[in-house]
Amino acid sequence: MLSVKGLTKRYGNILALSDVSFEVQQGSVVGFLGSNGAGKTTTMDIICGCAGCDKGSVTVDGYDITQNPTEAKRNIGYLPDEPPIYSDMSVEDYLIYAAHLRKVPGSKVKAKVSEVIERLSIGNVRHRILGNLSKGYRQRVGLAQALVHDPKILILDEPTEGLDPSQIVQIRELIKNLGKTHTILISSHILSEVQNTCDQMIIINDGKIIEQGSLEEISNKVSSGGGYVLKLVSGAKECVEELKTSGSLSFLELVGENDQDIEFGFNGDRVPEDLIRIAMKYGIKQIRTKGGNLEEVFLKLTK
Amino acid sequence: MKTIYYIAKKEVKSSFSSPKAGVVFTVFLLLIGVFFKMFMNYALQASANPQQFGGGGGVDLNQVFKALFSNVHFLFLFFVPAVTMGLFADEKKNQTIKFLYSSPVSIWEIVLGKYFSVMFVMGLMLVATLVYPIYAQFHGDIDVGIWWSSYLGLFLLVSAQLSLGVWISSVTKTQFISCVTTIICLFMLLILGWASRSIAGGGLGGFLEYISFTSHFDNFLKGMISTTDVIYFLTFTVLFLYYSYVSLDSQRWS
Repeated sequence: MLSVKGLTKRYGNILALSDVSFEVQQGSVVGFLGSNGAGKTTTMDIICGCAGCDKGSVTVDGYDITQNPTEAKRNIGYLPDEPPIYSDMSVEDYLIYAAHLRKVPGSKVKAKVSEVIERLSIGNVRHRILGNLSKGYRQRVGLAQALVHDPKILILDEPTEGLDPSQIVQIRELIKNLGKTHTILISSHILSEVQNTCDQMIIINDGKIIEQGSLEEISNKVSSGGGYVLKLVSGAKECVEELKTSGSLSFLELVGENDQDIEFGFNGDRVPEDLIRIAMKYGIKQIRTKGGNLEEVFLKLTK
Repeated sequence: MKTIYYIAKKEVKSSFSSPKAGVVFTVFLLLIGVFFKMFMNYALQASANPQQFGGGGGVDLNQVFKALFSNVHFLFLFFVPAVTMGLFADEKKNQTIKFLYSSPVSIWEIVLGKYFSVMFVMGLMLVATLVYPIYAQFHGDIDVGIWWSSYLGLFLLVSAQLSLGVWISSVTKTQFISCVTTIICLFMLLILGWASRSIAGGGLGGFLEYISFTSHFDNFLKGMISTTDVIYFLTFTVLFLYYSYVSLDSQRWS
């Protein structure tokens, strides 16, 4: 559906993107993760034809964005980091304008606009002036303009940025629902958001793609050296002292903010019985693969 | 073509839904009214005292309109930037330029849509001034040929001025800079015709005189429609619309 190959972009002496390549398959919801300034917006702008690149190519549904921009852009719905709204227009007029520019046939414009207004629950503000709307509603209208021509792929640049918690939940729900019918590439630096809404992820840092795949695949790669994290109900320090005497573990250390977690590794393919027996005394809350949580994976990859 | 129409329609609607077009229309028509009254008074004084003013008796309406239209040229120094300054500067400031760039719309369609929108607004303003020549036609003797050639000249002049304004708006990021730069450039093109000979003689002076708006526009006010002047204004318009296209396209790559 979307193929990005070898994107390189310079702003003067600053290398913003370096050989960025990835693919987004039809029907998938892909998270595009990176810290601020990592190159997410630049990549998205290039994909949508808002910016050019020094090297590389972008193909959307088989159409190259520079050679066949009109055809390629018909298949894209883009919500930039700031919703691109004209503050002097009403919601309905703006969406009609968007539909006209996105080549929706004249006879279908009204129906498409009504459909998208209903889908995004903005019927109560359809005659309001955009400049008077709250940030949450503006974001919904921004999503509506990206959807009005029924594109095959949606590119959403930090769609929950600057929203209050209830608005974030609403937008996330919307995106989850859209994911059932559309291919979506969604950028964010909020890791939980990507974890909740996406089935694949691409991690970018300093303009380079450093990892891509499902969360499980990425965490497995990151934690390839082995290792687990044990969370106890209480008594982590005492437990470590006791485990040290058993000698069945390859490494053992206290981690976490207040040394409340235990990181350990072992040789062989079975968890040592000693460990389970001793840990049971202190109450096991959780045992997981080291690096299994997205924050840890992200920090490890981008440090 | 349809896309150009949609972009132009949206721009015209935006101008009239904000106070901008209203203020521009009111002030322009008010000033034109004041000028018309003033020039008529001069003409009446001249006809009343033919010896003092060197006139031949009677009100020369053609002179009144020549003075009026020359002043329209001067007034456009301020009204053209007022309508063009926000065309692209606002889109860039509000990030709505991404809305246009990510739509299946060519840059030519964007440039032409914006240009036709401001041409429509300024054209309406010129049409509104027709009330004075029509009024004069009923009450005096006015050369209809000069009348029409003056309006053709005004439309060609405003078209060239607007294309320059569109280009300046496409290269600037703020309305203020866009406005001031347009005023300065239009002022230069206004005075070059008069000042060219004192700035430089020979070929350079002639060239400066040629590129000035005034030297071409004055011919229309005299009732002379020459191909050179028409082609000059049309070429100027097309050239600066092309520059706008190049500037917007290159900004995506910078």
